[in-house]
Amino acid sequence: MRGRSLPKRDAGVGTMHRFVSSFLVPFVVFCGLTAPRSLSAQDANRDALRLLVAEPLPEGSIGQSPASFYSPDNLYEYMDGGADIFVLYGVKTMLHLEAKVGTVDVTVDIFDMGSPNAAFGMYAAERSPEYDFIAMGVEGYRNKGILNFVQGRYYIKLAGFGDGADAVLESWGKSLSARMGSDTALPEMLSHLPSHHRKPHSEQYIPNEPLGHSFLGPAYVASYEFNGQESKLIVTVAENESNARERLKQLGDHFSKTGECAAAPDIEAGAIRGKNSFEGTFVAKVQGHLLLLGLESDCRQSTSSSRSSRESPLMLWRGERLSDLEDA
Amino acid sequence: MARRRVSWQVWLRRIAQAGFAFVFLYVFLQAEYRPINRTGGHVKFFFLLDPLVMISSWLASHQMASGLLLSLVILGLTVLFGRWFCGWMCPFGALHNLITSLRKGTAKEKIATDGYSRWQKANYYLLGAILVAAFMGINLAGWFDPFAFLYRSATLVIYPALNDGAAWIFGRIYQHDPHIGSFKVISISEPVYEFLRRTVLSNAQPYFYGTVLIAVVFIAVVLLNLYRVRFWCRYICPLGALLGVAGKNPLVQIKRKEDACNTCRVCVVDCQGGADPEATERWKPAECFYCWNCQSACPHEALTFSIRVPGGKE
Amino acid sequence: MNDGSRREFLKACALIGAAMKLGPFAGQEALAATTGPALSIAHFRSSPVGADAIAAEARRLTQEAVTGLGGMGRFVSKGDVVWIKPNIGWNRVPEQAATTNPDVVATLVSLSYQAGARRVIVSDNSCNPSVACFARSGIQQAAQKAGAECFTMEDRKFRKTSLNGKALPAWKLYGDVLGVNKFINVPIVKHHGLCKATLGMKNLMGVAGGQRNRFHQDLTNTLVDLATFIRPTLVVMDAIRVLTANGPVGGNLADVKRKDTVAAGTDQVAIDAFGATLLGYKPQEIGYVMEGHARRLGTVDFESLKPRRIEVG
Repeated sequence: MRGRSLPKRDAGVGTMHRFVSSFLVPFVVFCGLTAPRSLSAQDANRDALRLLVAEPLPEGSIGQSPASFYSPDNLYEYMDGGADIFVLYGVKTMLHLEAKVGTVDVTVDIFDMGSPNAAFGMYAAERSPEYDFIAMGVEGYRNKGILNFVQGRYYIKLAGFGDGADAVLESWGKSLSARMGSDTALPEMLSHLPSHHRKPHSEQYIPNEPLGHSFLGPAYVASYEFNGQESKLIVTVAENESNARERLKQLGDHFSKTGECAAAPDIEAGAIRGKNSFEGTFVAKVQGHLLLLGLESDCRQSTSSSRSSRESPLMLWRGERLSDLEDA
Repeated sequence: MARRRVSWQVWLRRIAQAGFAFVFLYVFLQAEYRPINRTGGHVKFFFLLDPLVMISSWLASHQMASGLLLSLVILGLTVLFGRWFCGWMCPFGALHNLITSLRKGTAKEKIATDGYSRWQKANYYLLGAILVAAFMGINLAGWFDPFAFLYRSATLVIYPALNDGAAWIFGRIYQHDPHIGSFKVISISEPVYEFLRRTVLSNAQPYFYGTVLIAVVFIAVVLLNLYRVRFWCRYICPLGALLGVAGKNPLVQIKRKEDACNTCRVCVVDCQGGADPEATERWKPAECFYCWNCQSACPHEALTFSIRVPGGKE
Repeated sequence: MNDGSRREFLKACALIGAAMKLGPFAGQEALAATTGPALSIAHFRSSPVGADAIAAEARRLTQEAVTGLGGMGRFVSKGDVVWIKPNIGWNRVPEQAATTNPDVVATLVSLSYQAGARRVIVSDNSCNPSVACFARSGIQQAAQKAGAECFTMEDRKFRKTSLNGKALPAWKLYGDVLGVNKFINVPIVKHHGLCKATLGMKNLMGVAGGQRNRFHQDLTNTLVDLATFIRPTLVVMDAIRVLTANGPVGGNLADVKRKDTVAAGTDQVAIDAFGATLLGYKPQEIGYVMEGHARRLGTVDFESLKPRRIEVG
């Protein structure tokens, strides 16, 4: 016996069915296809950072989760008290990635400092002249389980844990450096600073309040050593010459208040010298839009006379002009 | 409607669904970052079974990860016995099955909607699009594959929401520190939460961007089951389509006792796959999930599934 | 013990007993008035090399420092619930001196149990992601091996607490800490980019939740507010390795120096003053130490407490 013919479906149900499903299915498909775009942050800086850790990762590392990003506002969530100095130096965004190679754990932190100056400044703030330096990017250093270097506007800090971690970090460093391009020059100003008796790896760039004085910022700083006496050369970049002279005056006022300060015409017209008990002896002058300050802390001198004719880095330097700085 | 006794085959199917769903959950939880006790890579288990992943990655790269040969077993079994995978193994399908069972409505309404619809061709077209795209090097399978969809939704939306919800509830209890007489409620709630944290919940929950869209799509897909039975499985799932193609002529087929059947069409009610069990000659093996609901529902016990040579006479 | 000091001792016990009823950690003044110095400094004469030797050194120094104060029994009594708060702030290994030496922590756990503690909990609100910090610092493993409960903190348990401080009227502090009897602060001595040094009082920040970067707006007063509220029963200062530059995060072994010292004390200001000297600072240079002194939380002149100095090894 053949079955009865089946009743036709209700037309009303069919129309609604048709309408809803003709809308819903494309909607779902559309959502599925557009979803990938909404997942990625739109920030161009972050995209650039992401490219640096795009697959394939060095040594076949496997990312433990997608890279996370931190902005100046929430950097403290990752580094707590360690974040403040990065914010001070003007960090724009930061990429953090945990990866694994065999039994080695790698932590990759890349700070986009916004400019090569700021990146170098941040790098130099954390470096000490006695570190074990390597040629990577502009410069880098390493120690057991860490490798830090600076290149372009990025400050890279790598940490590794496990047997063979150091070799893995080296590989990571090279890979990142290659991906960052060829911007491996030190900030230009530093090459103008006198090189004799300069302590290697002592250069710094301090944007805010060098030595605790806002009128000195931003400044390039380098340490010098001669005859066992250390001194610092601080080159403050002012807006223009009159601003530089204004800052010179502020410097002079500070030393007048806290110690002594007088004109030093024997060095140059407009130059000043002086000292106080906690900062030491100084000599300062203006060159173009730059304020040049030489500072010697007094610890070793038995006579603190600033008119001493002993050879000291300050005295050696005072006669020179910093080369080619007019156009810097 | 009076609750009927459900057949043992349906019970067996439910147990299998629950079992594989549990395996999926277990494997999902194993994927969490635990620095001291590292666990192995059994997470891939479901993806290795997946013939859609195998075929689309082979089309795109002309290479195949050796583990994916496991999926050939699934494919082979489907060719032989039909689309049992959808009814018994797929954890995403089990979820849809569960939500579908929450539907309200009379048998008459369900008869009108639960049967075969031409829209069930949609997932075959989607499968075609995915395979063509794969051949061109574009991976769409990752978006529509049921395991990928479920895993992604679970990782980005469900699990974080669960963790947050649990933290909020137990956090509120902790903060208010309620007492019943001199008995502190937190002396029970805290150990319970600690146990959950150590077993099921996450220790350090990462948060993700762009999850709103995933949440919306997931919820929409799940709620669509209230509109049509196993909406995703019938109309969207490309893996289901692939298995449907493979299972067009299975050895296990539906069999109707003509003299017992009075064409009441109750067998259509709650038919999972939309395979039209009401008439043997119109039954669509490619759509049948072998859920046995039809056999269980038939008041005259007119339906059963048995091994037969395809195309041959009874 | 002769009759005079026995009477003193019993009087002190009664004082402590009364103080316990006042609330957690209270009775510090009573403790300080009991027998024993307010500060002891244990120093290892040599600087052993090798993980096992340094671990043994850490255990020995911790024991000697606590013994120098009169033993753990002076601080922990039978049935106490003790919270040991080391620095587990950073995802660093012990050699990098960013976190407290795990053997110092483990020794304190053991000593607490020996003194009769019912429960010993070791935890900290880490700065870097906590699961990693607890593991890599070695503290979780060491603490659990010694029998302590050591788990990461949970956001949901921070309770808004009135501190009535100068800079901090109220702040979210960890609920579980507020419920224990005894609190042992176990910092490691480190340079700090913002406040020159992080010592004991700064270490107390690990009890606080919320957006702690707001503390930096007035760190001096905030730390003293916190220290005034949470008066630890005991401070044990890890100076076996100290971080001399690029703190608090550190990382570079070149910034780590061996000082082979563990100090223990009941005066928060004095022990911090001592710790500052190990980094080459004058105690007067550290703002919150001077503020603590000004508010009579303790004395910056730690020598005046006649610290017991113990040379070992």
